[in-house]
Amino acid sequence: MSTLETIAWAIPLLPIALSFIPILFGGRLPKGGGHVAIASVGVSAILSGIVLLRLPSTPVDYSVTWLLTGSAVPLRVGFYLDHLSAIMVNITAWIALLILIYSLEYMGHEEGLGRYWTEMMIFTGSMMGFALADSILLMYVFWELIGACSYLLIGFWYTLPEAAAAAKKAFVVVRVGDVGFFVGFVLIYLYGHTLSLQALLTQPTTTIVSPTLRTTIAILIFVGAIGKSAQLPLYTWLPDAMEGPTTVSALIHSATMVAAGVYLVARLYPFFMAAPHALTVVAWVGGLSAFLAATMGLVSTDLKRILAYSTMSQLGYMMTALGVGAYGAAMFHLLNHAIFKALLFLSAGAVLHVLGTRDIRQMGGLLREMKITSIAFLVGALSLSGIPPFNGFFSKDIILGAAYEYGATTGNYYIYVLTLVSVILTAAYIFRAFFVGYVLPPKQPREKPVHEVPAVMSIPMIILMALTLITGWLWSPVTNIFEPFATYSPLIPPTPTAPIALTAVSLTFAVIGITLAYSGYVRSWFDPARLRQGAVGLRLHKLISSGYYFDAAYSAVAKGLSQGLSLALDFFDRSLIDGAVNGIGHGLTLLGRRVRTVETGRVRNYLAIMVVGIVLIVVLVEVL
Amino acid sequence: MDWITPTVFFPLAWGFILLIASQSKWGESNAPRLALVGTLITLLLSIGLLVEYGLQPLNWKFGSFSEYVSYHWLPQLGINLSFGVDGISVPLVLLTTITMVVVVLSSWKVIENRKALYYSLIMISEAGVLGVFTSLDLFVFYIFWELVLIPMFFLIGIWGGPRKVYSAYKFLIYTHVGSVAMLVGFFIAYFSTGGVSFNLMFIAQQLTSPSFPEYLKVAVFTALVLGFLIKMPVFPFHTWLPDAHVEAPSPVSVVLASLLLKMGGYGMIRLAFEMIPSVAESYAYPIMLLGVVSAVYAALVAYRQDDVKRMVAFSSISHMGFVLVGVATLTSVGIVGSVFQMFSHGIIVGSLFLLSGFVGETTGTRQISRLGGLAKLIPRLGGLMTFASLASVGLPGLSGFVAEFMILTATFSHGFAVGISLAAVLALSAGYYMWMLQRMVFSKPKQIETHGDLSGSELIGLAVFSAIIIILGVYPYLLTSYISPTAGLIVRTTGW
Repeated sequence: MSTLETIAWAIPLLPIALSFIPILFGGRLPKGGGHVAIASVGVSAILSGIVLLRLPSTPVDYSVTWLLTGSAVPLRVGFYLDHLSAIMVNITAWIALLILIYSLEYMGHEEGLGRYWTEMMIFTGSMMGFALADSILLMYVFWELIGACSYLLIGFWYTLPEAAAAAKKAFVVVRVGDVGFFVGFVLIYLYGHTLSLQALLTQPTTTIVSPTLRTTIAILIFVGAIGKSAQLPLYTWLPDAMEGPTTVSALIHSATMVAAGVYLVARLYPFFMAAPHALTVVAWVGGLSAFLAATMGLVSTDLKRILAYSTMSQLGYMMTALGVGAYGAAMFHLLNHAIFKALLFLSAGAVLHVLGTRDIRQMGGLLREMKITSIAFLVGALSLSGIPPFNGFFSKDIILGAAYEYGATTGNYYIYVLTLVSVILTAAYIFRAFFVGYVLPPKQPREKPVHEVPAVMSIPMIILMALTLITGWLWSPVTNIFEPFATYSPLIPPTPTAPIALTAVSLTFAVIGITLAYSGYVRSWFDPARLRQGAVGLRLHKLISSGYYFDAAYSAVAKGLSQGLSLALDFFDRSLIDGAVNGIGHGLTLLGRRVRTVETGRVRNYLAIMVVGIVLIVVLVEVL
Repeated sequence: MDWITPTVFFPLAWGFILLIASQSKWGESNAPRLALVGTLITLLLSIGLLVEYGLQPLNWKFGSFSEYVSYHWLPQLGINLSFGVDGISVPLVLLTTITMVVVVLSSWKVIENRKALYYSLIMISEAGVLGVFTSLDLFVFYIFWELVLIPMFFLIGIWGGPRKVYSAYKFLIYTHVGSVAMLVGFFIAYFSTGGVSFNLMFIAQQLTSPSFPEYLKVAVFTALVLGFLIKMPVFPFHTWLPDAHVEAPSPVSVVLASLLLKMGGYGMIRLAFEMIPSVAESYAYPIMLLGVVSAVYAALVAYRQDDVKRMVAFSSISHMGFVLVGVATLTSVGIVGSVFQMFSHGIIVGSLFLLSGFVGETTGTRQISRLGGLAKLIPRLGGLMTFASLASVGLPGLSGFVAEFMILTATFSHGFAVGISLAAVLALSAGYYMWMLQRMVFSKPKQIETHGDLSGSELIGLAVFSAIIIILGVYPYLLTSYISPTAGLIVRTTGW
């Protein structure tokens, strides 16, 4: 085993292997065993850094035999190091580390803290395993573990009925998508006789020969990504998942769960390119999700829900980038988004920690009282809106440029228009939250004085703020760590560069969005509440705030299933099938009365008769 | 060394010793310890068998069997005590001996009266199950098959719940109909091959010869399949199962679900499909469809169950549907998947029955709608219930996933529609399990009196089960290295 191989195995498995400590012994450890979690993820983060620095020039695959299926080829699983997996594992490890440090104070006084750390360790370890996995089978294993951990973490406060319901919803809705992923990779195994990434990435067309089948498989796998990344139409779990602790939301929304869907498509990108029309579907789903989520963010008053819709919208941007061929830009935006979204959530969490409310209308005045927290939110909001020099600007600019180029080559400008309009909406909803929640004076006087959060919570925010100023330059004329993808996989074309005029347009749109929020909420030059008056406005508001009725439709289906079909089948089972059985029984009993003299109906006697019978046979045989 | 004979006959002898001991006061009070020793010795014997089977280069004597030992019994009728194991039966033997240790451990507190009789019946049924998995003589197979039935009848009828008598009779009569169907199949096979021998390999050889009349083959196959469908059980022959499981005391439910159902699955592979491969090939598709229907149907009915034990019972039917489908795909992946599923399902559903039974014992009710917040009230139970439910819905990293993956792969090779229908069960079972957890384990704690959390011997048993679920899920190679060569051999020799 080479050093690099040992490191590759250790990164995901170390936190998972040590995860039993907090839950079993947390009661006897300070902070419920939080230091174990931080130390193990910290080591993984350092090892991930070493991997990135020592990356071999060609992808390497370390695997062991895992399953024998009776046929000639055994299934192997292991870990795969290349440029993409090294970047992803670093994003996950470092962001998770910051969030875990922040949790030390934020979650410090909760009951059942050992459970929290254990689940966070498996969660982070699984995401790193997902990033490094060398076969689709292993990716699926970690994918589902991520889902199960998110289920447990969203339901951390399980005694609250809303939290228990939200956890179940997250698991089941995502599972519906997972069935697509599952079927997709089963088909790959069936027709391609392999699940190794190496084969799929280097020879997608010889592994799966039929183009129709490639498209089918790619779309099925994408359905899994839709569920995990909360895209249309499987997004409904994401807003409800805000019932979990804010640190969990921060992790889910930045570097783990939702990022997994985007990473899945990125990981299998050569295969998606070899599947006709699959990327078009990805682009449309991404563009529509980006736009519709932004509209939902505009009408919500719950700070965490606004951020949740924002996540859905930004993941839409990443999917769009993948769909229009800007592979590197998607990963670049994933990195930048992970940083500024973690920052926004940690700021929201600090407010919640101090004020105890998530409703922006009940906040206000924080800019004075919680300076670091408020500035953190402002920096995150500027980055999210795409204002330079914050990192969100750089990646969003490349995505918009690529979407425009896509329109120019295919004639489909709709994707570009959707993403461009979303820029205004994004800036408007996030600055609405900032102005109403942080800047405007509070509506009611405070019951107790409000103080800034302690250093263990503010330092992770400060680090993240610094990062929003740094990571944008990773793709610039100076340095570009996101384009060497081409040298790893010659199948992936370089991302097109956009003309400077487009940058001016998108920047203008972002400024318009901020100005709208400023003039409506701070200056009151117009009354935003009037927008939802009148016949059209009222209906539109209802449509958007109900989440375009997806939730209602799913509830109806679930209800129909459990109360309609299932009720009918249960009745069928009890009355018809079991009724028939009992009926036959009765009939036989009636018949049996005639031979009652022999058959006493007592099983004990049968046992005796059976023994006598066997003895009789033996005796007869011996005599004859 | 011959490890099979002691593995099968030791628990039988120990069971009779316990039966005799039940007459004395000492025996009555020491019965649980004696039973634990008995099951542990059997476990060690079976590990000896496993090691020897794994070490020796596969020494095929007849078909896919090795470890062939035989004693004359009734040579005039062609009946011999012949035993053997291969990669399909060895895992099931191990499943039996492990499960029985856990069954004894978890009976410790539950069974309070007539202990020695109870444990004696448990040991006798263990011998019966082991005999079924190792017999190479159809007549002996049948005797062991019935040897399981009778102790089970008493175990349900004496120590069961409120409707124990109805359930015990229903169980006995229903499954006995299956046994009779099977016996008829055996007799047709025996007499039509000249009435010379009940030896499995001999009969299999005769049945596969081209000169053997086709209608007789079909008759034997139909009779056997009917018998095994009832035992597994598969829709529409399943209604004995929910009643029997719900009324039986939890450890006995474990024997029923973890072991008795596997007798049906094992018989389906070994006797129906492997013995008469040509007929199996022509009827495989409808049988596979029946398995899919059973899996989907039971999953849908499970949604409506308010009694958590009954819900687990339907989930058990749903998962056994996968076993039938895997076999009926006639592929080596499918067969490996089926055997793996039988092992994994035995462990997972065993845990779930123990847990749901414990819920009833400690709170006085098993109705989901009357429970809530158990994770707060009895956290060990809450944690293990969550774990076992996740295992049951096929969470990767746990054993259930591996089996479902293999069976689904095999199913998709028979068409997209059947594959998708079976895959939908994954989402359906996630639905009802998560819904149950949300209402019963999580949510606000209701005003419920509890008599303590899991502890002592029950906890040890569940820890053993949980460890196996994780080990096999993380590294399924351990088990598939036994199953895989045999499954490959079956597919090659039958020519599917």
